[in-house]
Amino acid sequence: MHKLFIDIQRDAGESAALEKPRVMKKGSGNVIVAVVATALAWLVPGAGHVLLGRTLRGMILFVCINGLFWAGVAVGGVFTVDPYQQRLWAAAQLATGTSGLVALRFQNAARQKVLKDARLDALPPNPDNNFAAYNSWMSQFRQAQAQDNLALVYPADTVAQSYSGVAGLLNFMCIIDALLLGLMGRKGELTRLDPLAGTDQPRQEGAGA
Amino acid sequence: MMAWEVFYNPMELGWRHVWLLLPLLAVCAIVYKTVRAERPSQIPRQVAVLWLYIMLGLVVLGGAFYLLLEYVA
Repeated sequence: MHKLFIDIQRDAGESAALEKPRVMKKGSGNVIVAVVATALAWLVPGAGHVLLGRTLRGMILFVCINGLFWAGVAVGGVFTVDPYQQRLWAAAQLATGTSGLVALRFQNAARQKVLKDARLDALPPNPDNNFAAYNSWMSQFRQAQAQDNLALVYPADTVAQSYSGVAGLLNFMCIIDALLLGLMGRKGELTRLDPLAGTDQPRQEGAGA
Repeated sequence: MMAWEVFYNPMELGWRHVWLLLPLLAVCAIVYKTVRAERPSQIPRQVAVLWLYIMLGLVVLGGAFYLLLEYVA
């Protein structure tokens, strides 16, 4: 009878803890964790969630975001990330962190090769000053791209840039999530058996099943 | 052929590239629900539901625009 009473008391305590599992812990430690998680989340998609104890979610995010990004690059080739022709897409693609930077590095190397083959200046003339010269430069550059079988044309450009750009935008959402989770001091997953798992509070001896 | 060459030259896609929308939507649903789901065990079911919702929404939207262009505009 006494044991039953203790069990009921413990269950009541667990239920009360489950009622408010998202207790925020105030302190500067949360800000540091949040900043590190945010930086990691940008650098390696999913790494911010792994740091915050959400390993499974981090692994899913890593596979999905990197897979989508590199699938886009596989469709579009090395000029999928092109900050000169597609600035907004490139900004979105660089939100994938390391993957975006690696793709940008390869794009720059391929661009230098195309420019060298076509004997063109590194940048096109300003179209506001001389539109004809700009048009001529672009035409020669595209021709050189086509000769090297690197020209990105419809529909491959649409698919490639959608895949890799959306991967970056999705990672941006994950970066914000990691930042907010870090600021709220939430670590780990919430589980029925461990009502304190969602907080930073140390688990008391004998608490939970 | 080196493995990295897959990522060098663009692929040639035919009209069937429309079907490549499905994996894109699937990844959107997976990532969104991975971030939003309360517990990891809820992710697969919520992803399937969201994926269907997005696809149905796009089909309805496409149909509506088709009718608009065909009969109204």
